[in-house]
Amino acid sequence: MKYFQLVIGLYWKAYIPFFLLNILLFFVLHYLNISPYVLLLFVNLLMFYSVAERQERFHIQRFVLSLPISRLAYVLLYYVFILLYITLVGLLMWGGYELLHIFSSDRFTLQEIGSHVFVYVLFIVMLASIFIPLFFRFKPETIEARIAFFVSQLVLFTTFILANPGGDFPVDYFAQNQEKLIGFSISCFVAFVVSFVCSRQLVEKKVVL
Amino acid sequence: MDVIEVRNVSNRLGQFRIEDLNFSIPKGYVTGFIGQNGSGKTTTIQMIMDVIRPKQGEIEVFGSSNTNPEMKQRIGFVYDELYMYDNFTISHMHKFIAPLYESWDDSLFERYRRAFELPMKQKLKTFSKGMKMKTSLLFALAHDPELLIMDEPTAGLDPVFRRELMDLLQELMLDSQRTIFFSTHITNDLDRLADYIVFIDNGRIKLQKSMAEIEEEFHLIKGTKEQLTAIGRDAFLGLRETGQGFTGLFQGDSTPLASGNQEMVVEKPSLEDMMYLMKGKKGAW
Repeated sequence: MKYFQLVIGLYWKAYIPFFLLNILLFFVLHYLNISPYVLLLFVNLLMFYSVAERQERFHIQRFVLSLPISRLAYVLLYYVFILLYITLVGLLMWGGYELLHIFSSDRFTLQEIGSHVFVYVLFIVMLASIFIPLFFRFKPETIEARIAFFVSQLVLFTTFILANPGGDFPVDYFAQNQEKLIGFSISCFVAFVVSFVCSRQLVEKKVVL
Repeated sequence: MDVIEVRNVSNRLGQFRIEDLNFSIPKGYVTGFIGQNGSGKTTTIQMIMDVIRPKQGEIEVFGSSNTNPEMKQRIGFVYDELYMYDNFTISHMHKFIAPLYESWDDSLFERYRRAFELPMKQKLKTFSKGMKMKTSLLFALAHDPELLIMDEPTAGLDPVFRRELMDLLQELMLDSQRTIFFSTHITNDLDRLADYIVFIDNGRIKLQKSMAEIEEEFHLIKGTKEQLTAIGRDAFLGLRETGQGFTGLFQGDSTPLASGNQEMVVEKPSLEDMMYLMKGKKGAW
């Protein structure tokens, strides 16, 4: 528990602005009848970069590794924290929307919001799986990190477009197809586990700051 | 007994190499870790703290591998700057740092906080360099560590605070069980505090001796060019020549040198003299 307290203490403040932005944009854009997901994914991309950059600027990893906490515990709890953060974002979006649907059913009409939010949450899990080990490996301000960050975004969004040609961000594509949703969920779960294993290896063998 | 043992440690960080480090830090003393900027002091300290891992060799702290996080329960660390987000407060830091240490003592924390005149609720970004250093010290000392590792704690501090810090460290050493390992390039800080000196230059340990041994064995010799020719350049560990004469660092009994050369000056070298003269020389003493 004390180790988790450390991770929350260190990271929650850094994630709060993006947490609020996620929630705010989700409801405002829905209110305006605009699909919020592409914009929200960019907010999350910015979040992963910004948190890593701040962490580097204030030498947070050096600080954490100087404390009586194992590298494994640190990486594991960081992943748990990210998972809880994403779950909380998803729950608030879904719960909030359902609530608004009751009080303002003319503006918030979407019936299948639960599956939409679930798909969106899966996309954040996928982003986290890519960017957490990336920033454990490279300092965010280095050219290598910037190139890897750019290429990852390119690959990610090209895949989205190819998966749903001519359409909006492919929330519907997954949300309306049970089989594909299950396949995507499993892919995200596997990616998250692989990401954790990679991050653990990177931090465990860290020889360069 | 040695608190830290560094054995055959090598590492490579880009172009910079740490090569075959071997030294130990005795328990109950202040050991100064000196070397110019970029000589490898910070890298060595980060390796001791297991923040970075060496490619070769091993490091033991309190008799067990430094990769065991439990040994950090007994260490207080102070780095060259406060490694923490600048929008945090001491109160916020306390909430997640205190629970990590089994021997955390809130009354000690409060005592130091008051002594350092640090506000609990003010954001770190409003702190001066001195206040940030005091904050590092506050968290390093509040669990009453047996070993205090400090990396350039006086860099960029004003002389008054540097003096206060040295007084505090002297006070801490009244407890003979405590050990301080303290890196600096401001060697004046160590003159009245250090019992042992480890000198690193370009990633290699050049010297590890007690202050008493240094005082007894090393001499600063100043003389003319003719005297230098008579003695021979190889007799010196380090040498600087000017148009008028030379200044050399000599190890061993200097009496025969001085007796045959009436005008030669033999002095006790300061750590700064030693660092300056031994820099870039091959070999270890």
